[in-house]
Amino acid sequence: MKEQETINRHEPTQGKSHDCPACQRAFIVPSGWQATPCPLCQQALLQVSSNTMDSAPIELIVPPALDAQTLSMRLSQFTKGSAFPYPDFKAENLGKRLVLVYWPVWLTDADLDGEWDAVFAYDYQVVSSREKMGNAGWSSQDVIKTRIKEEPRKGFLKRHYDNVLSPALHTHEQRLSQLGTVDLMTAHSWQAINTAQSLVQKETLHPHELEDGVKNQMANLASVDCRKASGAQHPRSFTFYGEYKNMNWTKGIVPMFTTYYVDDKGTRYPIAINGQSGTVYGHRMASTKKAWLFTGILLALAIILTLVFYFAKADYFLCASVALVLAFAPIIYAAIWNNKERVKPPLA
Amino acid sequence: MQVPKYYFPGFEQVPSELDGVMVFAPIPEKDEDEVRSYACPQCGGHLKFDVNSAGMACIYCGYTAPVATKQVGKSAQSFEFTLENVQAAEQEWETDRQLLHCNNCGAELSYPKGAVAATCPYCGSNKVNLSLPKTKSLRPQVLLPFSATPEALKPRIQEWLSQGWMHPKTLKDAAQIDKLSPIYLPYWTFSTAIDASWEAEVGHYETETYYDSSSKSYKTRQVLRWRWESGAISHQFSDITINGVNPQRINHAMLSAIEPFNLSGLVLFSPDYLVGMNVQAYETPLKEAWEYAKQEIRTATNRLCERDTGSSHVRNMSIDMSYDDEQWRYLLLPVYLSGYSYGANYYNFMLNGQTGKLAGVKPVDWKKVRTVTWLVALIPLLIALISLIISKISGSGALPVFSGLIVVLGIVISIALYVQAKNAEKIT
Repeated sequence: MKEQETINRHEPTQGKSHDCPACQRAFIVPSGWQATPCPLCQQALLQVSSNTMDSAPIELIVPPALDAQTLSMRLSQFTKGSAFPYPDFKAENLGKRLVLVYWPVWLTDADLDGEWDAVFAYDYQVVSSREKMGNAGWSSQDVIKTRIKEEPRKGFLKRHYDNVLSPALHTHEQRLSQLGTVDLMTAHSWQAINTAQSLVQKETLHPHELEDGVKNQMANLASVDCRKASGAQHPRSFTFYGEYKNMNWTKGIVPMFTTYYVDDKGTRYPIAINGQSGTVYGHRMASTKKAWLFTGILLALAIILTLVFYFAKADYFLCASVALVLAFAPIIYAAIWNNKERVKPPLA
Repeated sequence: MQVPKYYFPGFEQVPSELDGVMVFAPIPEKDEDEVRSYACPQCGGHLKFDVNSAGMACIYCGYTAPVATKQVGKSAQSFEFTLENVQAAEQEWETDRQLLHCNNCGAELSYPKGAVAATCPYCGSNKVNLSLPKTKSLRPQVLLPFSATPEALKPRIQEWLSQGWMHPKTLKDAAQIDKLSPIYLPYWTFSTAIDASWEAEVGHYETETYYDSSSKSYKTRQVLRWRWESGAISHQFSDITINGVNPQRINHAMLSAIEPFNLSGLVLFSPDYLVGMNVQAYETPLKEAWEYAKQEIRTATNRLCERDTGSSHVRNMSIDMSYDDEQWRYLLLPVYLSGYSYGANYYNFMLNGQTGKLAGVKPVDWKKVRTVTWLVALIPLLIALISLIISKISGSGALPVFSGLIVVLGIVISIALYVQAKNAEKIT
């Protein structure tokens, strides 16, 4: 790993640092890519960064796990069931605009050495009874019930923890909630060729800002280990008093795909897909133009119906009134749908 | 990792199921599997538990020392029916007889299984043998100390002997009463919550209007109507007491007669309380005792469900009951065993070591009882005969009826007296 680290530090990422003037996100863009729009906000073209702060070298990469067919299927599922979709909101359009974007995470290794103090809970079984009384008298049946008892435990811990995931972006948690979890099992050493045809988002958080959080995560892992070592089934409280030695930070990148669709006014709506699980996230806006068109047709039909009933002197005036009101249903439904979509947070 | 075994005070190292993690757990209470000897620090004489001072006392020099314990009452620790406890209760009950070596005179004493404290019959040395069950919960955790002294109980015994005309008049003076032997007897207490759902045919009286053809009018009457009803009850049973003594060893009826014990006086177990006392370990195993307790719970639940119907007319009742939070305790309760000789016979009695309540067997003076029952039967017969003669002379018609009633009454009373005398021979 150390040898690899040394190589990576001196090998260029074959790209230049770019910023999005709209959302301020920073990316490494492969050389030769021209006028690349921001894959996450789709509001502006990425511009060569004036920021001289260099990004930490990439050491590990998680490759995408989705093939073209799966991606297409996921996009089809996403586009189905949308109310009054824009003409551009089609799976094949989204598929054509897919861009592979890697986003950063920090992976931390450390040795934990010290004392711990905990209260763990243990399952135990008791013999209880269930009894029935009928004409033949009482009959009894033993029932085994599982109960929980709490017990204190103390001890020493000396263990190494590898690749503890922590955020490299301020929006890490939101991204996980939008796209689902990340699996590091398939991670391997990064080489420049791995990202030659993709964008790499630059980190916004640095190890010195994350140390306390990572220590908490490691203490949680230690809690699980100590509980297992004690043979307990349930945690109650855990405190670790010790040192976090040999802390080593590794930058890894995980895959996601981005794409977009365009509305009637030409506004782009970004969509992201988890590069491993295929979870899709984005706003599925309804076309108000299409909704008005439907409303207009229905309204015209309702007016014709009203006039027919009026001249025919038929007693169906109430029906005509209902039809007139119902004619506005498409535009009302589209407004409600869009309000609901707008409430969803933007891509993290 | 090299760490002293007792690095954490009160904790000891236990096996770890993961490399790189050392685990320490609280040290379990030490098994006191030893014989304690109680010698007076002043004169070297034998100490014993003294009921009067409620502490240890030397019978030679008068040295006294309090027993280090704590009153816990009904909040004393109780145990659940864990699989381990239930299994251990079955196995450890089978413990064999045990040998105890008297350090004072060298005698080898053999005690039946269950005896946990003893006095050497040769030298009077008081030893407490703590070869108790391996499972902590199956050792007495609490006990009720003796609070009624033998001196205070003597007048009560005299009074008891003098009570009742059916017993010999000389019983009080002629009975040769033995020394009161204090003994701690084993008891189980059980507590549980129950949830029971019931279904039954419940009868309700309803007013019904009907046409009475004889009086040619409508009248009302009360009729009992049955209908299926259901309900549910929850109840908490606390401290159901079951004695753990073999009925062949101690008369259970006599034991029941001296109950109840006030469990709010329970104190934490200390071997000091056992010095100079006889102590019996349980002979009725936990599972069997719990069955006895459950019988009481079933009867009580049946009653509670019947009450829940809101009617005194209930039939075809079925109950579905589940137990929850079952707890048990093993404790020692104080009893004085004794007896007395009267004539050629020996009679037993026992006293509650806490309340002084007494129960025992007293002889019946059958000569006296027979005389009284005969007199009770014969006197009305005599009166009846006289009445018949008078009625014959006077010609009155009412006297024979009166005579008959008196004879019947006399016979009934004499039978009742006989039955009472028979009962008086048993436990009073």
